[in-house]
Amino acid sequence: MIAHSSEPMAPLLGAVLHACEMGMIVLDGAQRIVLWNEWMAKAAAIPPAQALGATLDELFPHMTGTRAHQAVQNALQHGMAAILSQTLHKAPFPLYRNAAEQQEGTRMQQMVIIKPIDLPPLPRHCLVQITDVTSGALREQLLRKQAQAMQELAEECRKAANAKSAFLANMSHEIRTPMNGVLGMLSLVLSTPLDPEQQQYVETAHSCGDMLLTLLNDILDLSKIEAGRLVLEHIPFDMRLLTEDVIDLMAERAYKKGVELACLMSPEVPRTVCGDPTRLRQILTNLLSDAIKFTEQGEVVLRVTCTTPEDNDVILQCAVCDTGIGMSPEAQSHIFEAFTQADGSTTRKYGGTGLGLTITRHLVTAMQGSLTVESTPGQGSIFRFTARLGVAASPATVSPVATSLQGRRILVVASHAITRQVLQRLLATWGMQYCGVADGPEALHELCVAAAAGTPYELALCDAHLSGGMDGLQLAHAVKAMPATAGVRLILVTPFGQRGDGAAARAAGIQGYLTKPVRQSQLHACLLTVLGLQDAQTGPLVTRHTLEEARAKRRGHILLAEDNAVNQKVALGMLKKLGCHADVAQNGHEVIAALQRQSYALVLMDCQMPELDGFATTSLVRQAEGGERHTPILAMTANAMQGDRERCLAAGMDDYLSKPITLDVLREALERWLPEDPIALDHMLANPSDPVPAAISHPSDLPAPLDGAVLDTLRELLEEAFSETMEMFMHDMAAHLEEIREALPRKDYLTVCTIAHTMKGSSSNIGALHLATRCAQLMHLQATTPPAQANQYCTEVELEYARVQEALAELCSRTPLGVA
Amino acid sequence: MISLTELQRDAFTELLNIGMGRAAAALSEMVSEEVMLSVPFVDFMSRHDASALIQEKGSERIMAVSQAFSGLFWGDTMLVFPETKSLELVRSFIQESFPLEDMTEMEQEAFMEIGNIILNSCIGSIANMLHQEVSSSLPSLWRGACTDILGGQHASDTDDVVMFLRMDFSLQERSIDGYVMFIIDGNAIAALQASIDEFLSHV
Repeated sequence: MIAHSSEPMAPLLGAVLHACEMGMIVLDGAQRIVLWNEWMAKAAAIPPAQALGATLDELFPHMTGTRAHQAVQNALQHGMAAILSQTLHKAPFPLYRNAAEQQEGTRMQQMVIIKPIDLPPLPRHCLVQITDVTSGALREQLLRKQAQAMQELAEECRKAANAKSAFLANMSHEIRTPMNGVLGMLSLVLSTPLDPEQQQYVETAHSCGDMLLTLLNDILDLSKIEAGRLVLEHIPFDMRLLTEDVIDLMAERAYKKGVELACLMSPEVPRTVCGDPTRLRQILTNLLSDAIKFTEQGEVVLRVTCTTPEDNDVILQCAVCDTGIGMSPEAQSHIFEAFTQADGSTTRKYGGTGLGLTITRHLVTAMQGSLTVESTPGQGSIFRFTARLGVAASPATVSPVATSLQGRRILVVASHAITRQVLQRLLATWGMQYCGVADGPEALHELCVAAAAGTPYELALCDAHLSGGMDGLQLAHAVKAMPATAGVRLILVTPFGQRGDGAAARAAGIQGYLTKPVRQSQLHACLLTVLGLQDAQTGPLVTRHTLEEARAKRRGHILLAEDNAVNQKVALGMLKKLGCHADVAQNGHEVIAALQRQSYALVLMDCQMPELDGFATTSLVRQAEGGERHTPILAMTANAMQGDRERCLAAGMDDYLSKPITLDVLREALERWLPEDPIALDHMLANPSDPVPAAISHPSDLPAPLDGAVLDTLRELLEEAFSETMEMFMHDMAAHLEEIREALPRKDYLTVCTIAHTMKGSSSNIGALHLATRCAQLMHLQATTPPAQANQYCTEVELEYARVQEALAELCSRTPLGVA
Repeated sequence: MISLTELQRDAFTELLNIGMGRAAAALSEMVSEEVMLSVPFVDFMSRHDASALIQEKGSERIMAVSQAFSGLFWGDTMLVFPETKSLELVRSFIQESFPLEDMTEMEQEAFMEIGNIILNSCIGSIANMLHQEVSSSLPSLWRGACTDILGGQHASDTDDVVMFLRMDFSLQERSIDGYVMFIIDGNAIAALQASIDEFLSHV
């Protein structure tokens, strides 16, 4: 507190006040000016002489009643301080920064502070302090302009981004349509008979097309993700099935390189989870395909575990481990960036765009997880990722626990530890007593030991390719050859079943035949069948193909709504392959007309059609149905942007397929939506190509009348002509048998022999191998052969033919052959 | 702790509303729009409780204009708004939109002036009510967590009494809830109490 009477200070203080770079006015109790500093004098252009002693009203008459004036009064009367901000009162006092501005009338922008000054015994005074804030105000105006400009720019960018996305969406449709055509046609060509040179050329073209499509999809995906348009679904799905599907998809690739592929899922992983299965599948496919691509030998294993579920959430932990070429630490830090691969040479050697991992990382991030890599060059890599998924309240179709398998002893023979591990996990779930060995000799040893101990193995599951000098088939022969172990039922597991291997397997006494990757449900069904625990119309050999083919056999009229001629051809070709009969509609009107004429099992509806598009047509169809019968409508759309699925579903469609549509996708969709075949599928065991109508009652040592493998090949070759051919065969056989019956009493064994020869030929051609054998017997009749014997042979032929005939009849009636 | 009966609380509320009315008039004139201020609620409580009450409404971060007051009893007055609301208030008052998420310097000054007007009005009302001379300082601006600004952690603060007002600020169909507090120093409570008793005896 400065003593006001300090003499030496007073002049100094005065000087200081006049030196201040802000306005200072002091008013006394009567509101008279007692201090008016230099700054004020200059800014107001009022000299101190004029100001001192005057009131503010007198100096500035226009200010009466203003807030400044009121605030001064308030300060003097009540001791209240006040602030007048520039924002709310630009320039309360008529002050100017310079003569020029005064001329113009541009006031200085001011911030005013009014404070009471209490210094007893003096009456209350009031200080008015004025600060020039013009530059500050200008600065803020500039700031505002810039901010607004920024906002407008941001808005323009947003619009541009949207325009780009819209463009991409359109282009994707334009590009996908012809791609659909190209790939579809090439697929169809590949399924026709080709010579090796043609096969090679077409395969190359197809794989190029595939790569192009992948690239296109990746680019679209990435641009969608980077535009922040990625939206994840949240639907329940079966985790086990999803991984099995993915492994299935990758299996052939791995097999071709001689790399073992397996999936190990820990039992705590919930069966049903909630999330986006498509995107999860995309992540897994991406990582697995990379792993396989960069692995020349050894194995690729997908390990799935999870953390304990909490709050209806579970964190899935997946690791894709390979024994591949690995990556240097440097490379590891780059790989997640777009368009980079581990190093330049990998692109040349291994191909690819380098987008996959970038997309994968985005997807994983979207699932609130993280993606990491560990790798040692030359040894392999592990790509780990986590994802947060919901736990579904109620489980989706839970496969029944096989109580019938409980406690049964099974021996697994596989050289790869990982294969044994995978199978052990599965078999343990069903409560089977498991033992695993690595090769044939060990297996034989184990089987014998067990048999001797009185606890024999009921089943043995053998890998076809084993180390130790003995392969699966040889082992089977060995097992069946020893009386002690001959009773063990055998199942053979190979990477990819080749048609025809079935015969060799059967010959070795093998009762079940599965291809890797073995799906849980397939293994289950096969075990049950081989153990005789299912009500079986038994073929002696249950293969993956038979199980699947039954599914592929479809009855039912399908309506295809597609205006593009190429797409039509492709779709029809595929439907034919799948054994479905289809009618074609060119637009929505034709669809409605067709549905009025007859009922269809399913409609495949292109969304973009002229005149009446897919959506409108569907609405109309649903309206007409009114809620009674519901024909499944599947959308086929080239657009794959978010919202399309919803649009389709909202319009009343049941599902949607994204173009280009592959045979597999179509098959799956038809399986899902077409009404089931009368034959139960899950435990489907009857091999339709090996039908044994009343076989249950037949002695099981009679082989099947028709060989599946041969029939299949025939069917492929003949297509529509198959039925006709069979009919021809039967017609001929009937005629031949008559001739023989007629020739026998005459002992015209030459004729018999000739005819029998022909019969043998055609029988084996159509796969009636046993019939052929019987016919062969008739070829060796001699003069010395007793007539009874000859008759016997003939009867045997007739009996066998009867079986064949029955089988053929059943076969032909069950197979829809696309006959118009 | 000072506690009021229902009747007494009503009396306080009414008088404060009158004071607020004057502030509203001043503000309306400044902005040429109708500004309405009302005090629906008055009570006496501790700093801690006041802070809790504000946070209950979900405003952990606040902006406050505070002025010290002195006379027979002394302490701080505070006008408090939730941080996000203060920006809304200032900008609707200035009738300018600024595409920025923080208050600019000039806007802060405006906020201070608005607070200054309202607080001076309240102080004036109290002074009138209790027939006391009360003077106030220049406003200062605070921004941060409610607990930090309102204090209540120091032992010395626990003696303080807060006269807590909930205030409704209405402008152009926008209604923003704020709070005004008189935080009376523990040592001045007695004097305050005496004045209040005097006032209430006439109610």
